[in-house]
Amino acid sequence: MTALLQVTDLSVALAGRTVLQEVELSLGSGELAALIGPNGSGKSTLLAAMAGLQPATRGEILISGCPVASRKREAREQLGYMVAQDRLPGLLTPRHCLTLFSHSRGLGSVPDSTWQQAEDFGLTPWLDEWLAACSLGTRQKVSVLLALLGAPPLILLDEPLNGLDPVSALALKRWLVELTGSGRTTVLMATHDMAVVASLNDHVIVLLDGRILLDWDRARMARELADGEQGLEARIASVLSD
Amino acid sequence: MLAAMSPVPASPKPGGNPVFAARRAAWSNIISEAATRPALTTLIAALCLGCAALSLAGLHALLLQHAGTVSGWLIERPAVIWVAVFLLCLAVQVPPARRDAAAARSGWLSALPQMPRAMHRWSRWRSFGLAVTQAVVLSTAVLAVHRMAAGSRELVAWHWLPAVLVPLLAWQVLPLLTRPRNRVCGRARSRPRAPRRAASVEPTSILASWQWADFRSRCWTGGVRWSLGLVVVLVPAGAGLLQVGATLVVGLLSLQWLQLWSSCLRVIVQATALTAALPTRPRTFLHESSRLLLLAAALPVPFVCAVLAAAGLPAIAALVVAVVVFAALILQGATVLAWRHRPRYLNLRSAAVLLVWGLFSQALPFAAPLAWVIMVVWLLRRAGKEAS
Repeated sequence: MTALLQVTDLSVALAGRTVLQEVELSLGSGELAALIGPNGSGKSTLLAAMAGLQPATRGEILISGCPVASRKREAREQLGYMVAQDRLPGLLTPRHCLTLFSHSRGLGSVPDSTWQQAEDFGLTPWLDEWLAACSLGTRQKVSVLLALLGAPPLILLDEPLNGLDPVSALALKRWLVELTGSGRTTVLMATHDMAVVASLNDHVIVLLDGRILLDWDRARMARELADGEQGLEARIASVLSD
Repeated sequence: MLAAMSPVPASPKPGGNPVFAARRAAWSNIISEAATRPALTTLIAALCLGCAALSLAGLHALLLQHAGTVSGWLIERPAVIWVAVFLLCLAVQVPPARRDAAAARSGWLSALPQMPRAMHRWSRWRSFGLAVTQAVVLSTAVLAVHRMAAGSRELVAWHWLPAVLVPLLAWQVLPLLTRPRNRVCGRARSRPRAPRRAASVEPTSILASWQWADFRSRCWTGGVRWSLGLVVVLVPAGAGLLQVGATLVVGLLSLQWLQLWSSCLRVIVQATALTAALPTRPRTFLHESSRLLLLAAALPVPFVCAVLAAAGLPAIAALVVAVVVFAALILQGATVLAWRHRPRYLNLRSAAVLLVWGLFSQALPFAAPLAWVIMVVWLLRRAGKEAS
């Protein structure tokens, strides 16, 4: 079976400093994977490289067999990337952003499912407010909706739960489970929330100093935690401290 | 990149000035970045030196021609001249001082305990530096006028002493204008502000509507108001009411158009960054983003024609000038579209493209249209390609 996302021997440098080194990972369809690591370990850079926003100095990234470096547009048709909320332009409204992204994705208009998600998020009253006037949480909701728009095969989320109220956070977790449960969408989510990782994710990747320190799929995770002495959070903390 | 951008500035001492420390760190970042790119730094330095030499040569030629008139003004209407200069000096100092005041209230350093005083001190020193620079420039200018027009009329100390006094006076007046006021987030601002609530209808072109919203947010900023105030300085002494009104209207329209044009270009770069991870077709992007851009490029054609014709230029000559302005604007727009994915040196690239076309037009005026077509086609082909 072809992996939906295949990263081989990836190295990325920023201004001469190597940020990612020899990263190898693979995700299949329908996986809900968590990317964990201390601040500055390269999580956001890895996600940006997967979206083709950060050029690789070495290695290759394939999305559905399509190389990101040489066939950017075809690769990007397969993925939804979460724009950081502070990069959303203040002079657009959430409705404008959703319409712009829908057109860029080749969708005629914003899908009904996205309007429903906006409703679940409690975003409807804010749809026509300028983003400059929206709170951090509202902007975060817009960022998440833009990444999920059109339910692409691969969704890359960078700390999506930051700033979300409990109801919205619950709604997001439910959608992620539904999306990946259908088997058509894979989600890779950078997060620091270990409770979410323990309850939701069936694939855990730990990044430290730009290298993959640990890559456990569901079966491996079950084996590693079978003794029951330590939970996932404690195991990862001990791996990181070692 | 972070490593190169962070030369680890010394932390401000407990009682030190955080604004000075932040500015020092920013400048050392710029210097260290310039040091890491010697070729580019040399090129930019050479361009700057060239521009400075050209400007000085132009000013010298202008002074040679008009020194007598200028010295005449200084002798006959010193009060009017020096009031205008005073306003000009003040106008240069007010916007940065207002920005500093706003940053002291709500900037990233605003929570520091030493903040309002620290920013005030920084602002005063910068204003002082500006005042001294202005004093030196004005004294040199008056001295140059004096030397060049020595044969015609005599300038006495009283005529050029204000060149030193006026900027220093402007510096003294400045704190009175930028004194913090006890009102919610001062309305007098130099930064863009979002218009009120947006319409709930989906616009036909999001990018055009974004460009328009950007223009609306900047069309009446502090900078525009001060620039409009400066237009008054351009009104010749003894002008009639109609002439004053016409100058103000032309100035206002020019400033508004300038804001619209820069909004169109700015949004192209911002939209490219926002949609960078999307499978946007370049052709669709170009189509959407160039609607308002083309309109903005075409707007000056009748305006320039009318103004030049009113100034006494033959209709054909006015039309030629207007068409050249339109062509130059299209070139600039196409350059921005072509390099929208790498916006770092966009202004430099636009200037280079315009310079190349300008030089070519000077050397071979009749081949200028052909060169323009070739350059526009090349730039649009580049703009139509996927980001590499």
